[in-house]
Amino acid sequence: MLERIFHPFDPFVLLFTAGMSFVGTFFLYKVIRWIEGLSASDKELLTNNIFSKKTWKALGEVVRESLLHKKIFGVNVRLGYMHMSLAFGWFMLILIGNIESVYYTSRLFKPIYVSVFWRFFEPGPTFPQGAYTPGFAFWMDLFLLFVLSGLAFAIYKRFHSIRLGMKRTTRQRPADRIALTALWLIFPIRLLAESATCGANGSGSFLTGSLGSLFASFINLDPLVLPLWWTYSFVLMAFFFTLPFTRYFHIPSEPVLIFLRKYGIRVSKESPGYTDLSLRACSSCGVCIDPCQLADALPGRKIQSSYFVKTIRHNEPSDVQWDCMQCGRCEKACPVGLELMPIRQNSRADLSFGTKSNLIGMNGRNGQSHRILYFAGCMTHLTPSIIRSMTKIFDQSGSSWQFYDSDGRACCGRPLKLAGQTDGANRIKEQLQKDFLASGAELLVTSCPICYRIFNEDYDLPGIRVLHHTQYILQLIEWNRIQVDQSKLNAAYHEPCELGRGSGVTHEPRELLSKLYLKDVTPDIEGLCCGGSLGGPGLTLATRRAVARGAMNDLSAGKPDVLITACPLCKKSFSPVSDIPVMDFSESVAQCLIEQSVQPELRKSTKTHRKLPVDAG
Amino acid sequence: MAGKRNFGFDIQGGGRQIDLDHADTSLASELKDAVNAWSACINCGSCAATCPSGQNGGLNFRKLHYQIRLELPTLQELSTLSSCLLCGKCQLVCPRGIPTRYLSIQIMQKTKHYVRENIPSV
Repeated sequence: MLERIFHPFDPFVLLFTAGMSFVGTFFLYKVIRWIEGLSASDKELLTNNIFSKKTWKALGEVVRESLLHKKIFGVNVRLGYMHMSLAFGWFMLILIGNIESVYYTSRLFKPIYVSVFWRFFEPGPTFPQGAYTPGFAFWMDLFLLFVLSGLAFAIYKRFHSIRLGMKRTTRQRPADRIALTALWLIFPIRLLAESATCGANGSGSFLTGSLGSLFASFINLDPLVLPLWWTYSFVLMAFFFTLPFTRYFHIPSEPVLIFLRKYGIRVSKESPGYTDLSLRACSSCGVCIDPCQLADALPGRKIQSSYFVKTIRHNEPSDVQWDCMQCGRCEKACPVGLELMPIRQNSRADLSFGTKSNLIGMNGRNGQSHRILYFAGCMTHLTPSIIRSMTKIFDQSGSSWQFYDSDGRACCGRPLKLAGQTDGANRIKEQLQKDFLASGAELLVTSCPICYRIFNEDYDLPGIRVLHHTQYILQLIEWNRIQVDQSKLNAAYHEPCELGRGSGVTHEPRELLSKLYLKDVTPDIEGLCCGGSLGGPGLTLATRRAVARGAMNDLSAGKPDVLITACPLCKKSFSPVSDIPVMDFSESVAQCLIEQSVQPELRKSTKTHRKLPVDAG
Repeated sequence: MAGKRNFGFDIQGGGRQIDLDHADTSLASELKDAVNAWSACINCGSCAATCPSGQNGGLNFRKLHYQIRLELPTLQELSTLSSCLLCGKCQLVCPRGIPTRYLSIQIMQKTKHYVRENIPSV
């Protein structure tokens, strides 16, 4: 009975089988731990969605991302090809090997090693007659060649990573190096072992067959066959035994992540299992390193997500925890789609005593409710000209509006969230939410993208639409509530991280820019961080200025006469390093505004209930 | 001269005297290591002037970090920091470019056990 199950058999398969069983058991254990570590609501999401269409969608994404690596093609075609050939090629080798062995043994269930070492047990068609007929052996050779071509790219990348679109690559840990060596050896040794078998038996397809007959023409291959298969089995074992402790554990983890993500599970403090899964799914590919502006401003400091994920995965203390600006450029670039910003924020959690905010109701509402609530935000209070401009625009448009934080005391809570103090942020959220809803407003306009993001993402404000002032102003212009004169200058737009990448408001500011200025000379680059970010409190002023200068350089590529931004903090960061004027949208709109006579009754109502805004700053 | 003269202030009574031989400045030296630029502070008070929590009462950031330099503040003084919103306005107005937001985080981080043990409500 046993003989029938394990047939065909040779002792060398034991090495591979041991490695495979180890990695399989470890993976299963991890999957159980990940699911155990989900919060109750996340577990519910899992059970509710597992038998839905989402599973199929996730499967599609697994094929697209884990096998074909579509996102990496977006970084660089050669880099994408390298990843695709290794992953997809290897997968096809496994798949075709399996089909071939099932076809020949007519047994659906058999030990895994049978298909892996199939060429040893069944040398394939006779060479050269069967070499070019598209049978199993042909396809196996084709995909082996495919993998080997990817391997050639991988080796080339070690020396000239720039040719594969990467200025910098990750430095590897010792365990990673061992696994990498084993991985690189697997395919050449497989080629040699298969060629030797084919050469000794006069069989094989175009690659293994021709190589085999070439070897056979000057040496006797018979004594080499078995040692080569032993070596092949050994490198597979070495790879599998190191895999759980290296970055290569992303290979089994990433598909699990894709499934759970499709079911709607997100990184949160309540689900440590999902966070651990995300950390494991990071392949340390290093695509996140080049987009990081701190790679230039703070060379040598391993702030980039690829390194940061490694330190928390290995539970090591991080000395760069407070340095990341959380601009989100790495998150956008990440081919695995990891939620790097929440992971970073949560790693900062519980570092201090929680904030007891003693807010801050809206004073002076006078029992009146206005349609629009204007929330300037802390940062805007440091740039009073934005508040002045917004006042002018509101008044010109004849809107019924009220300045919510005219006294400058209210905070949206996002700065606390960025510093990892979720509890404090939530307390503020609760208070403000209640106050906003009680105000009876329908529209909440804010000048600060930081506030805009948290209002949109975290606040629950039924019946209140949240707009950033760029969106609001654009609407006013489109509805002809205000009219602007186009300026004769060329302008470049600096996209604030929190507004563009963070909240997805990319279209409206550009549209507004085209209405205000003669020519839009914004360079075609992913939004840069101004260096002023609240995300990285640990950065010194010198570093912040260096980041701002770098960004300013890139933004001036089109020789703009004026730099326009949509964030008071960006304005403050760029002003000291810029040769050209830096303005917020509201300021340029206020400048270009064509004064109109406003309906007197509306103007009256706004004036009486508005506090003096400029004094508050 | 008989009797006491009133100069408008008093150096004898009250608890504001600091015995420099015994003052606990360990927190200050730890903070100086963590936030180097803090040494450049001129105590101008811009941070406290712009502070939303300061305007709202409760926190006087300038006073707090000046006090830390002299000696360990009382628990009551330290716990006022729990109203810090970490909004970062102080950092933007600081004429010496000190990352005051980070200073606040570091004070919280370094004193959290001390404060939590003694004032559980914080």
